[in-house]
Order: sequence, then structure tokens, then C-alpha cells
Amino acid sequence: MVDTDNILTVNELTKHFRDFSLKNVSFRLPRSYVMGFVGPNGSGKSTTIKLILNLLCKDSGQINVFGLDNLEHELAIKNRMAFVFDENHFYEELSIRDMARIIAPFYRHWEPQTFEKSLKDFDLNPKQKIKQLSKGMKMKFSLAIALSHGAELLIMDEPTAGLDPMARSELLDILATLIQDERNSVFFSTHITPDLDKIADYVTFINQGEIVLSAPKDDILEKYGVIKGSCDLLDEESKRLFVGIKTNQFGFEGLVRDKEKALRHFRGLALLEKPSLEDIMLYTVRGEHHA
Amino acid sequence: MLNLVRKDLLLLKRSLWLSALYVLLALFVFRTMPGGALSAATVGATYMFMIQALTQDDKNKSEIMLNSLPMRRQDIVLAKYLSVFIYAILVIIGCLLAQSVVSIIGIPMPIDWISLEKITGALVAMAVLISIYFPIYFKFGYLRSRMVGMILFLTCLFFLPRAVGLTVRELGGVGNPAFRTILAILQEAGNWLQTQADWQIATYLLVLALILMAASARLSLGFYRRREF
Repeated sequence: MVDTDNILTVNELTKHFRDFSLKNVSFRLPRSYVMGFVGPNGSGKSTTIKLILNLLCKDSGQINVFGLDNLEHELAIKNRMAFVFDENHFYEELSIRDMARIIAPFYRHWEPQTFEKSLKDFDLNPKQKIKQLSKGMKMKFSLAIALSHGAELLIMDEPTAGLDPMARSELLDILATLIQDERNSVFFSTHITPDLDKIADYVTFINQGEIVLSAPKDDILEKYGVIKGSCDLLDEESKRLFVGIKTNQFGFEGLVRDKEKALRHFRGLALLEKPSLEDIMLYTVRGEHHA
Repeated sequence: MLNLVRKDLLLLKRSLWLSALYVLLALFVFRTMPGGALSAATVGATYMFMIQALTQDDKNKSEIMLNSLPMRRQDIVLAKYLSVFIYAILVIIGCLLAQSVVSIIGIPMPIDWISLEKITGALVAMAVLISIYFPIYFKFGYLRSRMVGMILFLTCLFFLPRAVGLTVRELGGVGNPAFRTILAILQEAGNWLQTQADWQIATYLLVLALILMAASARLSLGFYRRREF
């Protein structure tokens, strides 16, 4: 069955290594949205992306891109998608122009004019060697390539890591422009959650190789809450409401999955605050050991 | 696939120019040495280019980028085999050009002209070398295979001719009937080859090398399809 509503569907994806396993990872990215794939370092973000790109062989599960199986239709899929990695994999000794000359013939719909325009827009000199580019410029070069072959899905692995605030903001602006075309979708992994606050429509949170949650960002921020109060409000029953909790001599602070239920439980005696995605990530990872 | 070959040539752009100097140097160094030396120099230069291209692929883990592009893994494998012969042809052309320059300008230096026999020798040696090396490279990657490559290269260059000579001499004295039968067959094959023209011998060797390479490419394809990055 061809799944046309979702541009990317990952179902029960499993991959075992000697010291790490990706366990039954499932999520869906609807067409024309941005999904932030968030989790701490070593949680399985890059492994999942490599499995989508067929750089690793899955043990079990299903990956569909544009409604097509990622292995059976690998070439057709890769023609319609683009990638940005967390580190440079281009040939350092080549110039931007030469690197593009190598890449262009592989794509069925390469538009040289779009590439030239992107280089101008991104202020990139085609004669400059890849090794002379800053990380932000390399990122922009990858995006110029993505734009030049009309990629409908952009997969990015930690694109903002190591970028200065200016370059990060610039990259996020480019992504925001890219997504204005309703055919385009972006799937990007990060551990820098404020980036998601700016552009993500959906958030998928992975921890220790397992999906903790995958939902629209607004729904998550709507349902979760940070509750603060004095320690005497806490008993075994109330502790069960929390995803993670920290206590000190002044009181407690914790993340709840259902803020309405928590408010009813504490009957106005505790304080409710809006959580950030960072709060959700930290409390979920650290649980009761949150410091 | 041809685009990948072009990629390797672009990466080697600077080295290819340096190869002109290398060939001139080889002509000078090997001017008084027996025939096989120039073939060895051709193998040496070709091997050098091959390793430089592999180093570039390895440097920034560029295979990750290549394998994310819309191309089949088999194209990457076959392009590597093809590239080596393009380097060999470029080196041979460079050799002929250098010899012509020396001859036309009249530099007082005896020239050991590269012949069909030497070209065949170089191509066959290179084919044997990559047929053994590439499956190991595609299975284990550049870093873990480079020592094997170096040992193979040195074996092709220096030890193989001597080892064959020594083995034949040693085996001559062995009384084992199986060895004696093999030796007799080899002797007969040698005698038969002597009745053939040079171009025929060259053709047989090239066909054998091609069969060996086809088997090697098949093995490499199998390894690379399962390779993880």
C-alpha cells in the first residue's frame, strides 16, 4: 500500500550493535512539515538517519519514503531527497564548483541556474575549496545542492551543532524559506532543542534507542507541564504523575505528562509552568535523578 | 560510473601533472636496467594514483556522501576497477611522450623504449594486484586494508619474480610425482607459448587477467553491498 500522506514513515525499526540497540523505532512525518528528531548524544539519532539512507543494514522493520520502500526504490527516493551531515563528507581538496560538477550528473533533475542562484544567495564563492569553508558555509553548500535538484525531503543530521549563533539563525531562516514550498519536508536531528522551538512542527524524542514520544510540537507543549511546590505535597501517588522530578530543601520541581491531571491532583497548591522542549528532554532522560 | 572515474581524476589533478616528472625520472633511473624495470615503474606510478584516490575517499569518510547520492553501490565498485586502468593508460602515454621528448630534443640518454610486452606485463601485474586487493578494500575499508595493499604491491614489484624463480629451481629437485607432473605441464605450456607470437601471448595473458578481475569484482560487489558506514 502506498502511503501518500506521510513523506517519511518508520515502522518497528530495529538494529543491534554490540553495545547499542535501536529498538522498534516508529514515527511518521506528514508531507510539508518539519520534524525535529531530538535526543541526547548516543541515543540513536544518527543510526536512524543512516538506516533511512541505507548506509546501515536494518535488522527488521520498515522504512517508507514518499510512500516507497527505501531499499526497493533506493535510487528513485534518493533522487527526490537531500542530506546534510553533522560533519563534512565532501572532498576537501576540490572547489565548490568541482564538487558540484561531480554531484550534479547523479541527479535526474539538476538545475544549474538554481545552483548558481543559491551560491549567490548564500554568498558562496564557487572557486573556493571545500577545506576553506567554515562549518556554516559547508552547511549552506549542502543546502544549495538540495535546492538545485528540487529535493522534497531534506534529512539533516545535527546541522546546527558547532555553528555560531549567527550561522544557526541563518540556517534556520533558510529552512523556514525552504518549507514555504508545500511539497517540501524537513527531518532534522539535534540535541539543541531551542532550534526546534523556532521551526519544528513535529517532535520525535529518542532516548537509549527507543522512541519516548512523537507528536506535534504544540500538542506536546500543551499537554506537558512543569510543576513546582513544597516537598510536603509529594507522596507515592503524586510522584507517579511525574516523568522526572528533582527536589531540594526549598521544594520540588518536576515534569508531568498530563498537566490538567496534575493540577487537579494538587488542587491549586502547586505552581504550573510551561515547559520548554529542553525541560522535556532533560527530565525524561534523567527521570528521578534529575539534578 | 564514468562520472566516478572523472571524480577520481579531478581529485588527482595535481598528482597527474607530477607524474610527468616521475616518468622522466623513471626513464633516467631505469635507462641502464634490464627490460622489466620500466614495467615496474608503470605499476608503481599506477599504484600510487590508486592509493591517492582511495586516501581522498577515506579522508572525510566521503563514501558516506557518495552512498547518499542516487547511485548504485555496484557503480562505485566497478568505477574503482576501471579507474586503475585509466591511470595505467595515462602513465603509459606519459612514458611514451617522455621518451619522444628525450628522443626529439636529442638528450644524450639511452632510451629503453616501452614495448607491447612491457605494457602487457604492467597491465597484467596491475590486474593481479587489484584483483586481490580490491575485495579486501571493499570488505574492510581503506585503513584496515592498506597494509595488505602495500605488501601486495611490494610482492608484485620485487619478490614475485624471484620467488617464482626460486620455487621452480627448488621444485626441480623434488621427487614428489605430483610436483613433477605440475612442472611437466608448466614446461609444456612454456614450450607451447614459445611457438606463439608476442601479440598472441599478450592476448592470452590479458584474457586471463580479465577473468581474474571479473571474479574479483564479483566478490567486491558482494562485500560492498553489505558494507555499513
